[in-house]
Amino acid sequence: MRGSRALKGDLVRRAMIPLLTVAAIAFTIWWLEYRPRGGGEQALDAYGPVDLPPSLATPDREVAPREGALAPDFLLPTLEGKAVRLSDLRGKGVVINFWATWCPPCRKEMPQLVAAYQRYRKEGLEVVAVNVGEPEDRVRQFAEEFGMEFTVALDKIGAVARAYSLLGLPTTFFVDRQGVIRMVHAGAFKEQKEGLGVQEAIGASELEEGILQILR
Amino acid sequence: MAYVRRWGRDLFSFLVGPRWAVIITAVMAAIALVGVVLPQLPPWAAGDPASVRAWLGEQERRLGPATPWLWRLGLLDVFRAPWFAAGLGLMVASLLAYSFSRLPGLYAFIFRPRKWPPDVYFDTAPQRLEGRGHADVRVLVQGLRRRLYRVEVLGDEAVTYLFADRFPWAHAGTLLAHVAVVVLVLAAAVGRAEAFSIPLMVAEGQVRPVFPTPAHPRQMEVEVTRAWARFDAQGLPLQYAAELAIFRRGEEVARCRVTVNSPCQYGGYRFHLAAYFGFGAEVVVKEASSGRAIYHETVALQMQRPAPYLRAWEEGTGRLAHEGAVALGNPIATGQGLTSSLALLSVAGRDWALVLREGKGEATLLIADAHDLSRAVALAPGEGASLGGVRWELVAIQKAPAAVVADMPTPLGQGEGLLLQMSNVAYGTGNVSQGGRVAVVGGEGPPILILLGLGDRPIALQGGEVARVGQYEYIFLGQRAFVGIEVRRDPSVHLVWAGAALLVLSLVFTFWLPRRRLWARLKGEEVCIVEQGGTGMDLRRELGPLLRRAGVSLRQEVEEDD
Repeated sequence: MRGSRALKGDLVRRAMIPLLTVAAIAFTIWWLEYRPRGGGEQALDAYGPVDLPPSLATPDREVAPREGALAPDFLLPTLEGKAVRLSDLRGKGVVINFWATWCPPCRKEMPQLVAAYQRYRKEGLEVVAVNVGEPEDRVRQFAEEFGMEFTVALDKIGAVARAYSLLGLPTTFFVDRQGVIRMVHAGAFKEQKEGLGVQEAIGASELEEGILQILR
Repeated sequence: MAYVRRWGRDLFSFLVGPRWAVIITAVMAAIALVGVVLPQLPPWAAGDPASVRAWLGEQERRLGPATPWLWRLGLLDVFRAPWFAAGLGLMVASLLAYSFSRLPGLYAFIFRPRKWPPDVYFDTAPQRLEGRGHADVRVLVQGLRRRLYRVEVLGDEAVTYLFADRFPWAHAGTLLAHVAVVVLVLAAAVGRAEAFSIPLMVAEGQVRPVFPTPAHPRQMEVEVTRAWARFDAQGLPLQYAAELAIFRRGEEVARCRVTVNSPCQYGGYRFHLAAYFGFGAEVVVKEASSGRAIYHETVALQMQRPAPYLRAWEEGTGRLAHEGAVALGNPIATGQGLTSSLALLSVAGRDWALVLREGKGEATLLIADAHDLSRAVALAPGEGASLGGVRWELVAIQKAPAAVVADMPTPLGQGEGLLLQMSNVAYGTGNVSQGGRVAVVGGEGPPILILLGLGDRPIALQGGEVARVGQYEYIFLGQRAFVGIEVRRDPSVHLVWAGAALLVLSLVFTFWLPRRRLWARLKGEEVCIVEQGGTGMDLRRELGPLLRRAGVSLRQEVEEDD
């Protein structure tokens, strides 16, 4: 009995060296690859996707990022230092545009969004341009240069972009006055008529098609 | 259960067997050699049948009719073949099983060595040193310890035995070599499964994401804040560098300077500077009424288009009326291998039509009065002529960097696009480079961007200049450099380092720090030392002086005394 126990102890001792070596190599690799390096992990728990208030939910519609469903609610900080919550805009037609300054199609379509907002804001249009994961000062510089007068929200960790199942930028959701997504547009808007300037092109673009749907 | 146990034991015996290990290793080495000698399917073609067909078509020219057979046998894609992976797995399993089977013996050999060999060994050992005398054990022990031996004194009053052991752990050298091979194979597997690499082309001041998916959990952005280069007199790059800022989740997480040999690192990713292109133009288009930007891009001028460099003087006053490169419209094929490109130029208050005819290694510039085409002169590079009171000189026909931009807003809406061409291009403008300034195209002076397609004549802008056309303002902010950044992540690098280190350690243990064991028997006046492990060592030379100091005369010396 004692012999068997001693043999077991011996085996454990023998196994310890290779096991410890493997563990040391694994830890070193983990440490080199994944160690926390500080910065960038800002706590943003308060912001991101939030539950839709029960008073705004409807039993016959689910909450999902697709046409015909209620738009998932979110709370995000804005460039103005405030916060925007999608459900607070209920009663207005909302264009949620996910974008980034590094995305050429986003840059290309932004003047169209600016012009559309100027044209339809009095009819109850809200544009929420959700910037995905960029520094605030870079976003601010771009917003000022392109004259973005609508709400620019900052989705720093991409949580809202993930909740909306984005595959690429730009992606635009058209949410009607009841909070229902009426149209999802992936990619930049096409101007359907050639030979028009930015202002004139609004009247003939895919963007206007979506806006008219949600302002009805 | 017993069957499974027996089967497991058989498998273990098979894997442990040195014969099979040699066969597996030899077969894998031969296959790897085939993979090195024969051309292998490049990564870009893997998984794409059309690319594979095209690549095989190319190989048929080299390998002949054997190509389809080699492909079917998998010899043209050896390292991606499942059977190669299976072979490697078998080799690793064999190495692991063999190493594992050796562990108990090795452990005992290192930590519980035989300290007391049979007496007969002292008479038969090939490495033996004999002598006579009353040995001072204390001197012997101290001397051996000074030579890094671990010494133990054993025996009884009649016979004293000494056991000395040096570098016992060096016995693990071969085991380390086996482990190193396993680690290296593991590194290859990890590298294949986890390695990531993506090229990014980024202009100065621009930002690009690392992953195509915007909300990728490990998304990062790379901004090239500055790029510069040093060039020789011919415009060839000698050295280039860039400053990068890396952002994650909206925060700057790293900022560093990169060169070709010193990448930037963040979060396990390396950002290598892979290329440098000095030709880019940063352009902004604004609505004149609101001052709002509707276009702001750095355009890569990737084309090289002919740009006649012209000088023109008013003949009456001798005033220089024009100097610079002219941007030409799209070339039109005019038959017999010739092309013609057109431009309209205002010089000395009049419009001139320019036609550049190129082909068959020659080029001629035709200059005509735009309102009276019958009045024209034809100039070759270096020639001059007078026409309509203007003295013309065609200095040279150079290639200028250019691009056709389709999405730049124009007052007339989206047409076929604008032609952008930059003259007075220099590697080394104040913004692009701090190194040796080398003018590549055009003459002295700052870069000039020519926009063709905004009306009937070209618009030339220097850095910071604004041209208003219709409701828009066009601003050329300056020449910008583009850099190629290669973002890589390869966790196997650390495994490769670990494997290489283990391999070096095993070599060091095996060749430079071999284990050495000595046994000494002191029986009366007879002293005998036997040794194991010191192949090629002269026991007499090494231990002779120590034995003499301990009061022992070596056998040869004893015989000489007799």
